[in-house]
Amino acid sequence: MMIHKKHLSIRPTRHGLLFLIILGAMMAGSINYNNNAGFILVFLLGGMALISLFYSLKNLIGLSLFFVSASPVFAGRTARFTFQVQANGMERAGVTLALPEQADILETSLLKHETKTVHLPLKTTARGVFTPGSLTVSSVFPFGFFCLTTRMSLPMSCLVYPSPADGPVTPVKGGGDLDGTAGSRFSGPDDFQGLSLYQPGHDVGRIAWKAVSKGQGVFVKDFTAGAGGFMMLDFDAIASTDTEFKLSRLCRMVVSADRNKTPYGLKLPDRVIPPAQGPGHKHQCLRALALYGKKDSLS
Amino acid sequence: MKHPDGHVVPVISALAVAMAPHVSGLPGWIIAWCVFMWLYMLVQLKTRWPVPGPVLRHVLAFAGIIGLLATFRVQIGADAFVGLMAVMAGIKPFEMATHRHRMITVLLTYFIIITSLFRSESLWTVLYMFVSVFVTTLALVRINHPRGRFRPGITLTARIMAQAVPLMILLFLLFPRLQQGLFSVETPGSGQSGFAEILSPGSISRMARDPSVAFRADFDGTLPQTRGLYWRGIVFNRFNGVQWHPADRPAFVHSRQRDLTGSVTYTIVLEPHKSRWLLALDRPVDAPPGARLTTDHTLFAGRPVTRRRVYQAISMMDTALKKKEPVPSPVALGTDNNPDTRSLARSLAKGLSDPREKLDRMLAFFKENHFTYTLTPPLAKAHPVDDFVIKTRQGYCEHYAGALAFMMNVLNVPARVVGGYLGGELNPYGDYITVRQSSAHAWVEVFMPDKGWVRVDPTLVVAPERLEQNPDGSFLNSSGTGAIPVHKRLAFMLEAANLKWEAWFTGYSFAAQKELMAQLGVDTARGQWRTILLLVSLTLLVLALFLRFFLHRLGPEKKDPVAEAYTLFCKRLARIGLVRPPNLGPVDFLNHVNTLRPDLADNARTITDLYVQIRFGKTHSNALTKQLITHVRHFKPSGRAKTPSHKWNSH
Repeated sequence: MMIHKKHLSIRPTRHGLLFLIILGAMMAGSINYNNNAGFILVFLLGGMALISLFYSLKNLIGLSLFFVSASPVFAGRTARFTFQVQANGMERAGVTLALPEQADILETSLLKHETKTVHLPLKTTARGVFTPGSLTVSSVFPFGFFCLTTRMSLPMSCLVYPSPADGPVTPVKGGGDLDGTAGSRFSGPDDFQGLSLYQPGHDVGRIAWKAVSKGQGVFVKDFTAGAGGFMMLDFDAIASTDTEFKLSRLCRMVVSADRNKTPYGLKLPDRVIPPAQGPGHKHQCLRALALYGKKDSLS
Repeated sequence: MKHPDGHVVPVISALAVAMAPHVSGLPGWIIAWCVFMWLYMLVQLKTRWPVPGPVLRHVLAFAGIIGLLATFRVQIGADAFVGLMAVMAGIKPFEMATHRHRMITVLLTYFIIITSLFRSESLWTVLYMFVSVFVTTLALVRINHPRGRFRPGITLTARIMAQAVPLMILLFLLFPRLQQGLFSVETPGSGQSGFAEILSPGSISRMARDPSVAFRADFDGTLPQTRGLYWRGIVFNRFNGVQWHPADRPAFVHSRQRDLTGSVTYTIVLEPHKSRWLLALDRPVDAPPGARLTTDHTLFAGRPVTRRRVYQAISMMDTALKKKEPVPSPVALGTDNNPDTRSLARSLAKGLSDPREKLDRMLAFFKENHFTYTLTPPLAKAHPVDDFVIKTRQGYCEHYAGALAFMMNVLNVPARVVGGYLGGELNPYGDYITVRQSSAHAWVEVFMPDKGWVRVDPTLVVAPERLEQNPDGSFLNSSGTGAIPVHKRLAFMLEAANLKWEAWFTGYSFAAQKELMAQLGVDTARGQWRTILLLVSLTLLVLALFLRFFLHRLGPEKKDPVAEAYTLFCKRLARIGLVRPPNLGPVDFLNHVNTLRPDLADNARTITDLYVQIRFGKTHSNALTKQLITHVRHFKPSGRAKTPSHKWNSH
């Protein structure tokens, strides 16, 4: 998106107003003493302030912003919105990017033909789809007397997962036809069962490197859970009435299970994700948790 | 801010440059104060010494104000104000941790710049002001863009300044000037050059070593041919035993002298001396506007001269005036003062009746009795005339003039003391004479029944060289350029340039504006308010045009010809039903076009290839852009696509 003249609103800064007052005082003094040199100074400074406005405009007009991405984060963490700022043949000085209601602003300057990738941190609070709404681009360059601002609607959002809540890892029951033995089978990766032949698609982390180094072939270690075992993370199995807490607990479990390379499935009241493994699956589960009960506004 | 140090050097430089013109007028401790604080801040950049915290800063500010009070007492005048700003400028660099403080410091610097302009409006001051504004603005730009590079900052500042100059000149010419100020406040710096309204021992010697300019007289090429230029200022015709005073209330001449043959007309640029007496060559015969001619042939202004005043004076150099004057009575001298001089005068003039003989006898007395001319005479006591005439016999113009006038009045010959200046320095490059405070002089006028008031300068009897020299030994008149050393000649030239500037610049007033309007063909005779209104509207017009000009220079939005061409290409395809969805890349869109309209494939491929090449290729070439534009212009698809394009819209 390129900044155009009509987008920019101009207002004097506090210092600009102070400058105006001082200029007025200088003017009064010059009139009173009929001091022509004083007039010269007042008109020079006033003219310079006016011309500075022209350079302020030039500093922002034609600047392009591209909205790149914002990776999902857990609630309470800081999301990073990534933009690309493109100078388009003008040197840009002291351009400030700010998201609404955020203390963190970002000031950047660009050389004539530079394109920069910038990140704006934004603290998240609740799970769901986080939409900052608008991005404010402003600059007081060069004199700090005028602030030029433009607001751009920000077609960016960030998926916010529930914040993981710690707690005892209660054995989670598999749902429906997968029930019964899940509790005893869920033993974690320490429960080493044996080796099986590596096949493409297997987790590289489970490769038995010792066997490989001995030249015995490529095997993967089998764990209890991996040998056809999985766990079903069930929303209803968590003893709490607080939906958000349940989601947070599930979130922690998803993260742990993913770290432990345990295949897992997720069972939410309105949705079941069959057991699987890997980053894609993890994201799918976390996303389901993030959006549970909310309208899916992510496209 | 992560880089608070980047501001320190520019801001201190700006403060130092702005303060420099005040150095001569400020007490030494304030200068030392500023230099110390600034040096500390500069050294601190390297050594990382602690920067004074808020408590110490307040203590410093308090100490500074105490110092100001001690220096200026309770005189809240302009000098004290400049002093206060200097004290603040000294400690300001300590509190530059926030953007706000830095901005305030820079704004304070602009204010300091204008105070220097109230001290002087000379060409050099105005030129220096531009330097000062440049340095300060550079600091301002730096503050607002601390991480910027230095050189672009300089370029930008110079550009903004240069572009403001035309507006500045226009506004300067057009902004209506009031003839009178709003409030009457004393001008800073005007206190140094005094003009004594009481003639008491010491009042002139105080000025004798002051080289500052009292006034300049521009003769426009017709220099008066005379030996000794007596500049008449004030007439003292009352004596109280110790001091000579002017008349309580000056009496004015009501009839104007019509016959001005043999008179000289010249322009005087008088520096402020806070007095109402204007100076003119002995003797002025007409008063400039705003002043009146007194019966004592002095010029008395309507208000004290607190700022530089430019006026035209007309003088008759022939001291014997054609007009008959009434015989005045001798000055009342009191009875119980200076008895020895009285008896001396009477005994000297015993048997003489003609005023001229009496005068010659008195002058002879001064000549024959080892009187010496000195600027440092012994202190006078209760009877100053006695002390001088009988005891010390050392003095300068004031002593001689006072004593002679006293003695003549004792002898019943009306005599008075005239205060003013003697001589001046001719600038051969400008046809004008500069008269400095050091040329202050006092002489006597004696009334001769046949000739009226005749000028008598008793000082010349004792020190004839005083006609050619200033009291401090420097020469008064310098004629011809050949004998002048080079540095002096350069100084003369610079001074001449400056005077030309000042005569125009500081003299630029409402009258000059009216003249300018008249030159532009505007009838200004019909009233002041009309002219003011005209000037105001012209000022506003200039401002409006200026803003328009600059906003126009931003131009219509810069268009991207490549994007425009491609948009046109898409538009033409859309007309035949091939709408490009926004999320579809150009190559994908081409494939889409190809499948639906194979007949357009070739042209579409050429255009798309060009577009992709320009947009995403490494090389930028105008030739490619031109090619693209030509191709798009000739691309005129017709007919309708077989499949409606809504399929793509569902994305």
